[in-house]
Amino acid sequence: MSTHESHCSYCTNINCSFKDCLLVKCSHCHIPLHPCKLEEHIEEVCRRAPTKCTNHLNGCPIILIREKIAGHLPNCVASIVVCSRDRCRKLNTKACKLQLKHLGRKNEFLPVDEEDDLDIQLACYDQNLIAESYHFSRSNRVQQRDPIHPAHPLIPLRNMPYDMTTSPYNLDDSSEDEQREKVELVFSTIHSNINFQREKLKKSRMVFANCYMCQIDPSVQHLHTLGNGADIEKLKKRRMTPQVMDQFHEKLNLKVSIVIENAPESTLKSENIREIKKGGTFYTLKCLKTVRRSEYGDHCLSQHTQSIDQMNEMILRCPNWTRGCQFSTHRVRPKTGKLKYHPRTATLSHQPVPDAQFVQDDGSPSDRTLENLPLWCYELLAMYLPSSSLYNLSLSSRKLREVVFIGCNKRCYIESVWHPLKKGSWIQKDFAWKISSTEPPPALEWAVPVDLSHHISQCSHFDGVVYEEKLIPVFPRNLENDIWNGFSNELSEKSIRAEIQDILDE
Amino acid sequence: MAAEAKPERNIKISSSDNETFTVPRNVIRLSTTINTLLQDLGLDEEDAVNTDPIPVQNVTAPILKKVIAWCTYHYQDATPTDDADNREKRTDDIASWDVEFLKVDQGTLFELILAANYLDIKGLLDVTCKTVANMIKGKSPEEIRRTFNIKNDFTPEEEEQIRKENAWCED
Amino acid sequence: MSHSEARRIQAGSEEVWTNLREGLDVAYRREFMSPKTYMTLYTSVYDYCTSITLSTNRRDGDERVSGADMVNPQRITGADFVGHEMYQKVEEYVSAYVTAVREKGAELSGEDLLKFYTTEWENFRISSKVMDGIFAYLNRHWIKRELDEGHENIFMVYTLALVVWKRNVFNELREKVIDAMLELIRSERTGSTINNRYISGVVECLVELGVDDTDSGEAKKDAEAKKLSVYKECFENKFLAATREFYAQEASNFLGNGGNVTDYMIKVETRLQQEDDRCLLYLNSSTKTPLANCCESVLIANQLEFFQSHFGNLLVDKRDDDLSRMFKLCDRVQNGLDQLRLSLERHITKEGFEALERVAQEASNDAKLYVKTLLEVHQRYQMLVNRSFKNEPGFMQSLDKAATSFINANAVTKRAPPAAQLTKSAELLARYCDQLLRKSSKMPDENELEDLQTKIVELFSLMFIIIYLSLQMIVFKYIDDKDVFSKFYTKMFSKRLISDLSASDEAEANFISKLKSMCGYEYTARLSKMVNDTQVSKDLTSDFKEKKAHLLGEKAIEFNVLVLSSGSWPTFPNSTLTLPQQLSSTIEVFGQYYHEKFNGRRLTWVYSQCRGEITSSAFSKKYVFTVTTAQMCTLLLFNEQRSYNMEQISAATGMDAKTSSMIVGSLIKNQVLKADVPLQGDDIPMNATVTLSDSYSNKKVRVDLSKLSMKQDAVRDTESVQKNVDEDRKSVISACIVRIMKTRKRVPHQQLISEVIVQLQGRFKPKVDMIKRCIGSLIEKEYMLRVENQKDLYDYIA
Repeated sequence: MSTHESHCSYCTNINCSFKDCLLVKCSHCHIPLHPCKLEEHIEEVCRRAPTKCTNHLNGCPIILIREKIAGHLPNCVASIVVCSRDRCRKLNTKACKLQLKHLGRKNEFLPVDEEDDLDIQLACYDQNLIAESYHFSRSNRVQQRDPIHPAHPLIPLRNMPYDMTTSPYNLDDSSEDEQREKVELVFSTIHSNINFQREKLKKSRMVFANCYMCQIDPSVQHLHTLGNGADIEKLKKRRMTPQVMDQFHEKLNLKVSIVIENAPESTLKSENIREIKKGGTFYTLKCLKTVRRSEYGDHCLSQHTQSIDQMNEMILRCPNWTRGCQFSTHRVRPKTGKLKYHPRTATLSHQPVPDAQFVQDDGSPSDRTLENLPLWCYELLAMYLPSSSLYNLSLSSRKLREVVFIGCNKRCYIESVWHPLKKGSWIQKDFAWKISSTEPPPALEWAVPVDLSHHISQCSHFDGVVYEEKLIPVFPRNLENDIWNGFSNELSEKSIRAEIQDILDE
Repeated sequence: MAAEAKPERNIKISSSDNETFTVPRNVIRLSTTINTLLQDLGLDEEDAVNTDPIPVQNVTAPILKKVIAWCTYHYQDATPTDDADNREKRTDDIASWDVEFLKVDQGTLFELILAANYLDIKGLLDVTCKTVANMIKGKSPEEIRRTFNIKNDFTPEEEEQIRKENAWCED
Repeated sequence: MSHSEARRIQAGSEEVWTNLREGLDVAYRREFMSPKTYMTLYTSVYDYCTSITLSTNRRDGDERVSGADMVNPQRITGADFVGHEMYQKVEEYVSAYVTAVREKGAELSGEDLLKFYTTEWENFRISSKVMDGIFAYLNRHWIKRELDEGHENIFMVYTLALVVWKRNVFNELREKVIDAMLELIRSERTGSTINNRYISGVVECLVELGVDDTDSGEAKKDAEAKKLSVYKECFENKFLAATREFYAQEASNFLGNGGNVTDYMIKVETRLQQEDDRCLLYLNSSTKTPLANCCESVLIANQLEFFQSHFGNLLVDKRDDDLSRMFKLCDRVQNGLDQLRLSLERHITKEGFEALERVAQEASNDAKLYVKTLLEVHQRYQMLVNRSFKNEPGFMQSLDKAATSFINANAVTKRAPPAAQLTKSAELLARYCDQLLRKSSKMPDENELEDLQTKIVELFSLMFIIIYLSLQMIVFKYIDDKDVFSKFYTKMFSKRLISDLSASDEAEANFISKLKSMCGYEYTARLSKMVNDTQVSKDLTSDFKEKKAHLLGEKAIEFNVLVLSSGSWPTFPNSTLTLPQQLSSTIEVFGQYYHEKFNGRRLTWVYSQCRGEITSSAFSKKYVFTVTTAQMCTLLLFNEQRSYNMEQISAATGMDAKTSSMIVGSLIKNQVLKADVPLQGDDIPMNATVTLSDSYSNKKVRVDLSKLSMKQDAVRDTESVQKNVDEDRKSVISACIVRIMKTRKRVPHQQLISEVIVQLQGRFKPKVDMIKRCIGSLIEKEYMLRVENQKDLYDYIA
C-alpha cells in the first residue's frame, strides 16, 4: 500500500495522491478534500455546514451551522423532560376502598374548593384521581400492576381505551377476597363442610403465608420466607379491631388521608406489604408533567421540593385535627402573595399580588384591553411571565391562545403526538406545540407558628381526661382523728369481747 | 451630561391632541427617542433656537402627562443595566412609589406601555410590564377572564378538546 | 402569515417608504430638519413596525384555532416580514447614496482627494447618525432580535451605514487615500506645513470603520482589538513602512556626509520628539509605541556601532552632556547599552592605572596619597555614572568591576616585593586609616590649657574624619583580600588603643560599625572585643585605686592598667625586664587584687607596650619625660649613681645586651644620656660608659622619648603580617575543608575546591595551590584520606 490514507479503500484503489488527485474545497469551511469524502464531511463533520438540530426527530425545526448547535440545545424547543416524581396516599379505613370504587363507578367526584387549605385541596384532587382509576376494568388494572406496586398500579393509569360503555357493575370487578367472601356467603349455609376444608387449606399455608416474595410476585420461583406464623395471628387480631373514620376526614368526606406518605420506591417491598396486610391500600401518584429541560429545575422546586414535599410545614395543623379541629397555620410560606392550587392543570401556582391592589372598574378613557395589544407587547410581557401563566392565558380565550402560541413560541415546547394503531401498538403521527404549566418557585419565608400555641390553649376539640368518680383528698383535714377513733373503737370492742369471753370461759 | 452644568433648559413637547408640555432637559433625557432627536438635530447646543414643540404623535395628553410625571420622579435614577439574559424577569421588585403610581385603570396602563415603548423609556416600560405581569401571575384562566373582562369564546367542543389535550389520560 | 396579508403590508409600505425616502434625502443633504419632520419619520417607522396585530384575519373559519399549532419551520411572522423589508430598503438607499459619492471622488487624487474624502465622510457620518435615530425602533426591535438569534450580516442601522460605506467607498478609494496621506506626512517631515485636519479626519474614519462586519457573534470578546483592525491593516502598517524608509534614508545621508556624533544625537532627539507629537496630534494613540519602536530601530539600533565608536572619545574628552544624551538614546533600544558598559569599564580601569602610574613613586610609601588618588578616580566616575547614566545598574556594575581591578593590582602594588604584591593595597589602606584615626602629631600636647579651642578643632576633625572614613569604605569595598586589611588594621588599632592615641572614640566606633555592616559580625568581632577590653580595664583601674589605695602607701605612683584578653589581640614580643622596686611593688598589689577578683586567670605583664612618665629634677629645668618601660628602668638607675657602663645596665635591668644597647641608644639620641663612645647606628657598644647628660635642655617641658624606639617596628610589621596572613589563611582553609568533609563524608576533589572557594569568598580569595597544600597536610595528619583506586575522591576520617 502506498503512502495514502489506509482508511479509504476508494483512494487506495485508484492509487491517488495529494499531488495528482483532484481535490475539492468544502463550500462551507473551504477545507480541501477528496470529492469522495465531501458528502460525509458536510453531513457529519463540517463546522460551518447547516445541520439539523439533534432533536429534529423529536420535532425541533431549527437548522443551524454545526458549531452553533451546541449553543442552541439548552433552548431547544424539543428538549423536554417528563417529571417522574411521585407521592403516596393511604386509605383511612379498610372500608374506604370499596367506597372509592363506588364513587368512581358513579362518577361522583369531590369538588376541590379553593377556599380550603392546600393539603385538603390536594387530597381531594388525589382522591378524585384514585376514584377515577376505578373506572377501568379490573383486568386492566391488574395488567398494569408491577412488583413495586403490587396492590394498585401507578396513578394515573397508562393510556387505556376508556370505555364509557363498560358496566360499572361488571361481575369481575371485585378483588379476590371479596369474591371469595361472596362465594362463601352463598355456599356456607349449604355445604358446611367447605368451611372445614377451608380451615385445612389455611393451616397448610400458615408457615409461609407471610412470605413477602409470594406477595410481590408469586410467579417467580423462590424460597419462602418462613417463621412469620406468629405475625399472622397478630395481624388477624388487628384486623378484628374496628376501624372508625376520624371526624376530620368524615367531615370532608375524604377517603384518603390528607397526610402525604413519602414512601420511596426502594422501601416499598416490606413496608408497603405490612400496610396492605393491615387492610390499607397504598396508592402511588406520579407527576408525569412534561416540561422543557431548562424549566425542569424550576418545576421540581415549585411543584415538589419546596411545596408538596414540605406540606407539613406549609400547613401546620392543630394536634387535635383528627377530632375534627380545622385550625391550621404555617411554618413557611411565600414572602408575598399566596400559593394557589389549580386543579385543572394540577399545578401549584404563586400569585404574588392580591387582586385588591389593582383598579378593577373599567371606566377607562382608552379602549385598550389585554386582547387588542400589538404583538410586540405580548412578546415583551411574556418575558415577565412564567410558563404557567402563559398556559393559563392560552386557555382563557381564542385570541390569547393564538397570541401565546404564535407570539411567544420561544417559550413553548414540541411534543410528539402518538396515535394507537391496534391494541398495544402506537405510532408517532405528528408534533404539537404545547406550553408547560410550570413556574419558578416563590421566595419563601420561615416563621415561628406562635398562633398555634394560642390556639391549643383554647381548642374546643381538646380531649381532656374526665374523672367521673369523686375525688379523694390525699390528706383530709381530720384524717388523724378518724384513724385514731377507728382504731380505738376497734381496740375497745375487741378487748371488751375478749374480756367477756374470758369471763364466759371461767 | 453637559446640560447639567447650565441653568435648567426646558424642552417643549406636544401630545397628539396638540397639548404642549414644558419639560426640563434632564427629565426628558429618560426618553431615548427624544434624547437622540435633540442630539441628532443639534438642539443641545447653546445657540440652538427652537420654539417649535417636539410633536409626540402617538401619545395623547393624559398619558403624556402621566409619562412626564413618572420621568420627573425618576430622572435622577441610575440608568438600569441592560441584562441580555433571556430568562424570565423578576416582578416582585417594584418600588412602592411606582406601585401607587400605577394604580390606574387597565386602559391607561396599557397606553402607558405603548407610550413608554414609543418614547423608549426603559424604566417605565419595565415597571408597567411588571405590573401587568403581576395581574396575570398565579391566576387560573377563569380568574384571568374575570380580571381583564375577557369573554370565553371557546365553544364547548373546543373546551373539551383542550381539556383532553392536557388531561392525564388521553383518548 | 397568509399571503394576502403580506401583499397588504407591501402595498402600505410603498407609501411609507416614499415619505421616509424624502426624509432621508433631507438628512443626507445636510439640510435643516425640524423636530416635527424627525418625529414624523420616527413615528412612521414605529407605526409601520408595530402595525402587526393578530386580530386582523384569524376569524374567517380557521380550523386550527383550538388545537396546538402544527409545526411550520418556515413560519415568518408579520413582524419578521416587515422588519426584513425595511432593513433591505435602508441598505439599498445607503448603497445608492454612497455609490454617488464614490463616483464623485473617483477622479480626484492627492490633497484634493483627502479634502473630498474627509468632508464627505463627516457629512455621511452625521447624516447616518440622524438616520440611526429615525430608525431607532427598527434597531431596537427587529435588528436586535435578529442579532440575538445569531443571524449573520445583520447590523444596527448606523453600523449598516458604515459597512456600506466601507464596502462601496473606502475599499474603492483606499489605495489612493492612504497614499495621499503618506505623501502629506512625508512633506511635513521634510519641513512644509500641512493641513493635518485631513489626516486626522481619515484616521477617525478608519477607526470607526473598524466595525465588525464578518462575525457578529464572537465580536464581543476582543472588541477592542477588532475595533482598530481596519486602521492597523490599512494605514498603520504602510505608515510604519514609509517611516522606516524615510528615516533610513535620512540617517544614511547624514552619516554618509560625515556628520558628527553630537549633531546626529541632537537630530535624533528632535526627530523622536516630532514623531511623538505627530502621533498625539492626528494619529490614533495606539500607534505611539510601534511608531517609536520603528524610529528607534532605524535611527539608533541600526547605528549602534557608530555610537559605540564615539563613546570612548567622549569619555576621554569628558563631555558629560553628550554622554548622557547617548545613554538616553541607546537606552531606548534593546541591548543598546551593553557595548557602552564594556567600554566604560575598560576606560575606568585604564584611567585608574594611569593615575596611579603617575604617583607610583611617592605613593608606595605615602598611604595618604595612594588612597587619595584611588578616591579621585573613583569619585570622578561615580559622578559620571550618577549624572549622565542615571545610576543605571549595568553602569554601576561596570564601575565596580573597573575599580576592583585597578585597586587590587596597579603600578604601586607592582613596585612592592612579589610576596607582598597582593596585599599592598590592603596594607596602604590600613595605614591610611591609622593615620586618620591616630591623634595627629600636629595637635600640640601643651595646649591642654586651651581646652576649648582643642575641642572645637576636635569637633571639626571628627566631622572630617567621618566623611573621610565613608570614602575609605568605597576603596575598601573593592579590596579582594579583606583579611589582610583586617590583620594590618588590628595591629595598628591595638597600638592606638594601648598608647591611647585614638583621635576620637567615636570615630573608631564608627569605623568598626561600618566594617561590620560591610563584612559581617565575624569580621569585626575581634575589634569589638578589643574596644571592650580597654573599656573594662578603665573601670578595673579606677575600682582598684579606690579599694586598694591604702596598700600602696604614700609613695605610690600614678598608673593605669590595660588588661587584654590574649586571644583577641595581636601577639606582643615578650621581653624580660627587672623592674625597679617603685614599680614592682605596685604591680604586686595589683596582681593580688586581680587574683582576688578573677580567680584562675593568669596575668602576664607586657612591658614592651607600657608607657610611663617620669619627672626629672636632674637638669636645669624640670622636665616630664614620656618613656617606655625599658627606658624608665634604665633612667631610674641613674637615681643611684651618675654613670654606668653597659654591662652594669644590662645586669640591673635584666635585659639582654642587644635590647639594652638599643634602649640606651635611644636615650642617648635624645641627649638625656651621653656616652664616651659614639653610637653605631642606633645601638651603643657594650663596652661604653654612660653618664647622665647635665647639659640637657629642651624648649618643651614635656618630652616624648618613647617615639624613637617605636619607629623601628614599622618595617618589621609588614613582613610579619604577611607571614601571619599566610599562616592564618592556611588554618582557616584547613578548618573549612574539615567542616566540608565532616558534612559530606565523601567528596570529589573539584567539588571540594569549589566549595572552599565559595565559603571563603567573603573574607579572601583562596588560591587553589594553597588549598591543595592544606589538603595534603590534612591527609598527613589523617583527617582524611584518598579513596583507593579512585582518583580525586576523598573520605573523611572521624
